[in-house]
Amino acid sequence: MTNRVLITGMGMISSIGKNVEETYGSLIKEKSGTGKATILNTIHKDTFPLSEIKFTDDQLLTLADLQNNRIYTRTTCLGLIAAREAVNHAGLKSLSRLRTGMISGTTVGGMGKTEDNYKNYLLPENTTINSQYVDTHDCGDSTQTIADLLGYNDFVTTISTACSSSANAIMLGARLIKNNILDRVIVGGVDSLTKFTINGFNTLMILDKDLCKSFDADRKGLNLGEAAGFIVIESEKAAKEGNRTILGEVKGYANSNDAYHQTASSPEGNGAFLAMNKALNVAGLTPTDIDYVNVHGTGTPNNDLSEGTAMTRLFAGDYFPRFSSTKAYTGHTLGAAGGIEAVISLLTIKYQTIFPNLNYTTPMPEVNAHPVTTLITNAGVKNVLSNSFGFGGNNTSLIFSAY
Amino acid sequence: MEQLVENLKKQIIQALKLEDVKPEDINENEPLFGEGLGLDSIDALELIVLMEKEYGIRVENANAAKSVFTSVKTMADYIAQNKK
Amino acid sequence: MKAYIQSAASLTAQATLESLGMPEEFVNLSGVKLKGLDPDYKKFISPVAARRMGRIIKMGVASAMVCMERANDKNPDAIIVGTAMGCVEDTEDFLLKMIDNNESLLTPTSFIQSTHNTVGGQIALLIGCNNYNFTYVHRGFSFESALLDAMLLLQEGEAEKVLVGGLDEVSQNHFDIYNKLGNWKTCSSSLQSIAEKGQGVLAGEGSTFLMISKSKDDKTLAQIQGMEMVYQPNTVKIREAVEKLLVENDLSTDDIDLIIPGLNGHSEEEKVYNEIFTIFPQKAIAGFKHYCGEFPTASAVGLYFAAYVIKNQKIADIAWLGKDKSQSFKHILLCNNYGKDYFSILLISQC
Repeated sequence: MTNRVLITGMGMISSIGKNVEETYGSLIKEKSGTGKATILNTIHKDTFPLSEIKFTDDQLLTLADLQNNRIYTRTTCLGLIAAREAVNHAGLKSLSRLRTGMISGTTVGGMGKTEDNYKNYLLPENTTINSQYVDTHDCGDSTQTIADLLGYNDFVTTISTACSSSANAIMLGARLIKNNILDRVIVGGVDSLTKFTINGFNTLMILDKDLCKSFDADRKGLNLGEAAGFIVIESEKAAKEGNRTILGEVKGYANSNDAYHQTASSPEGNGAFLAMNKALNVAGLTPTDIDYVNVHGTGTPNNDLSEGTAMTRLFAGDYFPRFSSTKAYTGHTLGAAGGIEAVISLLTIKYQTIFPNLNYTTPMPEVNAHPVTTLITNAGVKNVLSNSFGFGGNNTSLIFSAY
Repeated sequence: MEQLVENLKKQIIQALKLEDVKPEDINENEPLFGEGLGLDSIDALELIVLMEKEYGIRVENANAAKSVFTSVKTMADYIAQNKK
Repeated sequence: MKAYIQSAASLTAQATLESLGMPEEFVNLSGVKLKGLDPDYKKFISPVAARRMGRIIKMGVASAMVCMERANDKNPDAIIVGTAMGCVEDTEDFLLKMIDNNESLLTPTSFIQSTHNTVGGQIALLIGCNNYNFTYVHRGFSFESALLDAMLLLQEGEAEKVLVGGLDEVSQNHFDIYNKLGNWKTCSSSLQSIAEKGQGVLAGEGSTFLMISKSKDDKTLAQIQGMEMVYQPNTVKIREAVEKLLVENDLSTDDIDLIIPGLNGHSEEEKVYNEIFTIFPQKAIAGFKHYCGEFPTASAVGLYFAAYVIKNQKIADIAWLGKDKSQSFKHILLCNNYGKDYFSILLISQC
């Protein structure tokens, strides 16, 4: 008999709000956070809209309550803000005999500071360098730092699988609870905007110079963003013991590999189909049980075709669930996407509201369904399917259900 | 034109790290993508940068790229027409 | 959680990739870092595929291919990789070009290759594997996280066999930067780096893959009977971890035939092993870091070493660290530190 995986807390910071309440406010007002970057100094800031969090690194240190001497990266600050919100929301106490861990997904890690300091490190005349930025470069730094600061480090690890990173973190956390290895886990992810990623995505020519139009026939690409999103998941026993308010359940999850190309997804959407199908199996649900899909929907010609095709294959009969991409609001936050979209999926369940797929006008010929384009309230949503598909063919689907 | 074609072959080999390929192995009319040299979409992006770096010509999007990069000859023609 | 090790392959500074276990001949390398011995990569990867691959990706693919070949199985149910620093050379390449060219005229290849899950993704691509594929990037527990996940998949019945790997590279820039921070040891040779206790460690790199499985057959090398990951180790935590492993397996300290510690010659960091030596006084001790140097996923090399000691029932003279040697190896305790915060203990047994 395996444990149910219940969600008891959530936290999020992104371009549409510094906490869950502000996020919800922006979502229902259809207010996107994508626009001109004013903090990150990149030559591309006038060319590509970015979904930047309008706090400088110093301001984030204050917001995260980290104004001491140790160097904390932007990634760590964002992650701490969201993780702390989730933990407080759940009412977790760190002095507890319950086995509590943290799993975070990130791709950028401390690259923000590295890219500013890297040349200095290498200059021969700089015979000594300050270790603090060097030590915070790796992906594991933000996770360990946050876990230690919050006091939940019975098991801590970091996953980096490109855009599916935080969805995978949630999946691993769920499995650890189901198999009675942990009682509670803080799961999700964080990524901050860096010149490295902006330039990297630019070389792939998949950035839109305008606001992204997910699932639109005329879509041109994605808008990059930054964010952190975490949820607290607990075993049923731990949740009951702590007398928690249950936000929902992690009912299904699956990870598959497209094995088609390093960055592009197969046109038939094989990996995506496998992930969604398996997640349904794990949840014990059928396609018609899905009330809403929060699609990966980056707005690139390739992803939306692949994902759209996979969904068409999965929902093969007369039923096609309502779906939308929320990346027009938050941007594509890379490693954090799965985490923040988990929070958004839970908001959908909590408020029974489906948030629209902004900027959509023209249907894709290959997909025989349109995304939701206006706010739907009283939506009758019990089961949400959330997709996160990353480079290296890494595809993850999660199913969140009302409790 | 002949010199341009020769240079292009060398630049392609270098940019795409085709270590085992020599310029004389490349037929200027054979397809670069799919069959022929068997290049893929990442190579296409590399060639776009090569165009700009070596010849100052910007290929704006993936669709334009398809016709420009059909073969070494089409690349050479495009450069001859557009070089500033 | 338990698992059988069906096969293993390791690329290190020694000729480990060609041997089944540690090679008989040990070359006492001099120099400031131990560079992985590159095989002829063309044997494992077609030139078309290899031309784009950064070195660590080639290292990963080659060792994974050898591992799968040894298991006679190119169809794992999952591929799970642990790497603390990821694809360093590709990251540096893109980063430096970006800085030098002021964010212009950049090409995609090194960016694509720099993502941490590239090795796992490339392996999947090369063998056409659509199955579960994760990459862990958590410092000295990157490999251990991957191994834990793999054993969990077996326990859940989600997989029969999993390809698990641990790899890290040390590029020249990476080396130079950490040199300025005083990380590295100045010593004359790999043996000296372990024997002479002092400041710093010998920089190393390597890629190790193991095929672990739910069931055994006559090819099986060894069994992993348990693993404990001890963060910020102290005497109490270490004691508890060792006790847990022994009790869960109905063993006493007497039953352990060999300790394989990840001694790395760093006088401060090695203090963590004192508790192990206190719990297991007068046990035979054999080390592995003089083969591969120190890096965050070196524990994978330790596991490779242990698996083959169990299978072959022998250890080369050069590996012995303690005065006592043993002749038969039924149960081995592998323990490894990375820095001061990450300490893992594994029980590996004959099966």
